[in-house]
Amino acid sequence: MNKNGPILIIEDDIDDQEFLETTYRKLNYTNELVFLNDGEAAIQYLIQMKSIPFLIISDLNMPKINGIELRARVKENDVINIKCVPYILFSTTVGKNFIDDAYHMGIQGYFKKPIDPNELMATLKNIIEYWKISYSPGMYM
Amino acid sequence: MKEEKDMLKSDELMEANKELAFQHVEKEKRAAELGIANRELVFQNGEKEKRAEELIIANKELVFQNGEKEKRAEELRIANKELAFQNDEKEKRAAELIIANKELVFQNEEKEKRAEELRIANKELAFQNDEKEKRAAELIIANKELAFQNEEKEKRAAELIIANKELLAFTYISSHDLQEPLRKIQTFVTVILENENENLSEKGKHNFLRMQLAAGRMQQLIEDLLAFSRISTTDHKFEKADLGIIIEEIKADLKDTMQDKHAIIDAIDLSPANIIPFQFRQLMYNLISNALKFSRPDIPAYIIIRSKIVRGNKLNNPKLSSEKKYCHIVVKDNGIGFEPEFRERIFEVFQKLHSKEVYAGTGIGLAIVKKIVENHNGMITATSELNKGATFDMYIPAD
Repeated sequence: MNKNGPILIIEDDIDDQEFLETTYRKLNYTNELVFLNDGEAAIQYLIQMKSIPFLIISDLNMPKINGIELRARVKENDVINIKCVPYILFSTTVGKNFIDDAYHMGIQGYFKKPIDPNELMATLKNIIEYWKISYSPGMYM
Repeated sequence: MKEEKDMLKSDELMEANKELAFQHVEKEKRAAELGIANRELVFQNGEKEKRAEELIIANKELVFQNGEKEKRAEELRIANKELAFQNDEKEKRAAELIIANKELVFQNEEKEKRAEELRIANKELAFQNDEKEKRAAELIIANKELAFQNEEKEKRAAELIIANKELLAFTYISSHDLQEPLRKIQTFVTVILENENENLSEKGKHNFLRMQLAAGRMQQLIEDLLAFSRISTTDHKFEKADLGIIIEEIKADLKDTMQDKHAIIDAIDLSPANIIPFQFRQLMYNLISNALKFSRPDIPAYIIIRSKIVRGNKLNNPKLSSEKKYCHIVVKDNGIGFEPEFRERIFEVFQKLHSKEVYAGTGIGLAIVKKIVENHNGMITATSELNKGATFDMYIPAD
């Protein structure tokens, strides 16, 4: 984690990307927002990235590689794994199995996508504020 | 005459002479014979002496032989005694052998009898063996039939597993793919109502609000349906649990509603129960929140919860096994109740007795309750009359 690094949003749904972006802009943080449209794009980006991101927020239900499978691939790769903290899942689904599997793969948070944009804003703000004051392994790279 | 007489006399003399001469001859002959005889006798005497001598020797020999024979006789007497003794012994032994023989004859007879019995028993066993082989053959056939049926059942089970997987796939679709567009509809409606408020007519705002309510209700239906299907797919781990603790937790969750309804939950003397805690918590939550929801507006809600371990034959329910022990849990309220005819239907999925305008809800709460009770191999009944409260009786196997 680099507190000034970009926030990576792994999300295949254009509407959700828009909700997130609109909401995030209202919060006036200076971190760059990078959208990755699916799991494969995310893997490519993570392998090649030079900088260390501030946050990774991933959708669960995506084509080809879902959010948990993607997290599993990140975990396998020691070089990128340490850069990928915090790794947070955002999903419509909050089924027990998904939550268990996701935490087993080493995520730092699991949130239900809020319906109300105000709620989404509050959630995002909480997450960002929490991690702004946290310490994590990527800070010492 | 004298001459005659003399003549006669001479004749006689002559005659006597002659006679004397003859006698003389005769005597001489006789003497010769006697000489011979004498010589003979001398010879014979010598022979006899020789013979006597021989006899003496022979006599001595005989005496000796006699002595020997007496010795031998003595020995024979002794040997005879010994033989007599041995004979006695042998006779005794023979007598014993006769007795032993008799005994053996008797034993032999017994053995023959026994052998006969064994022959009979053997025949019986051979017969039984035949019967058993027949039975075994029948069992083999029956076994094959069962194996076949088993295969059929396994096929059926495999089909059911596939069907179940399809159902789980459907659950996933409803859990995610249906929820996602719905959530977006809700989000867009919220955004429109917020950002476009001044651009909308009152009628337009009203319709968007109704749309929002309908979407919210659909979301609730999907979530309840998911909760219902999750009940059968999550782990079934039974534990001995304290119902009192579960109820305390639910009371804390429902604190606000309880305050609104001035509700009292009277839960005492609860026995521990062998349950799936996570599911049972949901069951009790649904029953208690139902009781609060359907309380009478004019009086405080009063919910009584009791539980005890009871043998089946003590419970007035023919569907329970009389020898088994059950944890009998009662949840009784003083709410609006329902007509007795609906006592079965209230447990069906999406069955509601009231319009959503009067009592919100999707009608899945009691279906979940029933499903959880079934997961515990138990049963539930509901009894009520309109406006006289409702009683839910649950029987969970306690062994």
